[in-house]
Amino acid sequence: MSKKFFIRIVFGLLLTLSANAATCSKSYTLGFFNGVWNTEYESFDGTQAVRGLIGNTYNNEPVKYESFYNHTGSSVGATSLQDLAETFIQRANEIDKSGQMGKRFEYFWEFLGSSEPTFLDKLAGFLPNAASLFDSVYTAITTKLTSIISFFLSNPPTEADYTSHNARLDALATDGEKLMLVGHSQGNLFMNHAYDHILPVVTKDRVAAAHIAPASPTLRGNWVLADIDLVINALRIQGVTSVPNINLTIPASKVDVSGHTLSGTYLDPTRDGRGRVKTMIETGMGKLKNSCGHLEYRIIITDHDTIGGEVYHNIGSYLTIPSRDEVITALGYQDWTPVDWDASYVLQYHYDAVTSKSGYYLITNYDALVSASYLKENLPHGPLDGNWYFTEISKLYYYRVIRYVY
Amino acid sequence: MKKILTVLLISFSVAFLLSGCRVTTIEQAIMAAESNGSIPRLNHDNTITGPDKDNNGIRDDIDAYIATLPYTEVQKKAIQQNARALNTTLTVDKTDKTALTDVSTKLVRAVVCIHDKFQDGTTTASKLISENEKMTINTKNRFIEYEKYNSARSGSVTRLPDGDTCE
Repeated sequence: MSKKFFIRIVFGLLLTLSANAATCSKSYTLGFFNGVWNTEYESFDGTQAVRGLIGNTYNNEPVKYESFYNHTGSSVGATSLQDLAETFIQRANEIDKSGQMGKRFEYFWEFLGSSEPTFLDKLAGFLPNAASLFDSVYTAITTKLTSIISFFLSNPPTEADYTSHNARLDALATDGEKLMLVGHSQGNLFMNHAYDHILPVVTKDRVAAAHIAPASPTLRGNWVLADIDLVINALRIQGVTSVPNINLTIPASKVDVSGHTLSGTYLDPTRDGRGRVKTMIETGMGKLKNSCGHLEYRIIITDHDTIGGEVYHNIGSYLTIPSRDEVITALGYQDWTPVDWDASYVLQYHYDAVTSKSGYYLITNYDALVSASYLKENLPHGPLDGNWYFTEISKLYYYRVIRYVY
Repeated sequence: MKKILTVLLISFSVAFLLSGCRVTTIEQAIMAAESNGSIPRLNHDNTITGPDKDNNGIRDDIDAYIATLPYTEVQKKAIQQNARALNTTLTVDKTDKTALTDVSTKLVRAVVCIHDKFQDGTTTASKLISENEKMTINTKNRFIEYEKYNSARSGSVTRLPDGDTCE
């Protein structure tokens, strides 16, 4: 088979060790997705700040908070934060030929907006023309931030970046959690993927999304974007038309010159953003429903490809299978091969009923899978263009089988 | 030698201020602000951890700064816990996943602790966290080491702990 027609296929199973037990979880998990230049420390702070906003209970049910951290790079061999630091050093050395400011990274954090500019304010008290000098650095940093976001919009994260986030979402879904996903800045790109990953599993009954300062071309829920957000609004000026409309008008503040940070702007208790974010998240949580009842399994199509230009199967369509045994019978589990976490394939969690071992596996016995009559006869299919095509199971699709609680 | 240079630098800065000369450069403004104490004089040497004479896990200059803050002893302890936790991100083996997880646990517990001790309806806890990061990660060498930690932790998922997380 030519490479053109054989791309790759991974059938995956997500089966849990407690498949026989009915689950009736009555709690929320709020997952927070940080901007990619944030440190883990800042991500924890952001998650905890959201906890302070929503509280440990909602509708008399517990709310747990999890930080879905990402710190990917915006150029080869460097993280986004390293790129920003280089910009700081260059600009600081331009306005201070002695190099003293460029060596003092406390000013980097202030120009970035991660910290209040208390030191810069003190310097301004000594230096009459400080404001104009500092403005040039602020502008350079904001421009760099915007270019980093643009880079991510055209070079989105890879599956490898999402792997552990996906696995955690699968586990939470299996536990019957109601999932409230909150993204800030570029974290919205990661959150969108997380939402798309888990939606077929839990449906809109158990997952909702909220976007804060979304740097994402598409949205999965309500959003809040401030008029003073220089970073996101700069994208619009640059011609990135997919940036959502401004829907929050608040006064500017010296605390966060960028108008973009989570705590400094959007959760600032002295301005209206905080209340709007709280309402947005609680509205999302209010739509979620408890998941109690017996278990079933679904084969879910999570990716698609084409044969000769034709598109088969909608992402997110699924086939319900009543028991784990039937899943195993249908797919043929005998040729599972353990693979490394970092492999570029879509990996899924699998429980081997024979060996009682669980872990991440890559199915290599494609022929056994393709010949699985259960799938051939029952897998729903449909093209993305609204027309129907033939139903043959090909080797060009990704599937997941998950335990589903309803 | 370093001490002599520091004394000379301070002497020049004080002399500069006393002379009544106008501050015209950023360098002069930095020296003036650090000399009169409006900005803390932070350690900027080439080491990753900086001096810690009392061996309490907190850089001496940051220790001294925390002591000047107008908070209760319980609140200062929470700030110190954050300073200690953040320091460990610089020294941990970035290839040891277990050690990295341990450091991350210290970090998240410190964050939850400081928010617990500053429930004043403001963003004081977040400001103190960012201030700690700003003052600890204050040289290029420290920043590079810190970035190695953050990169190693990319993709992780951490649940915020419940209950009392203060040390």
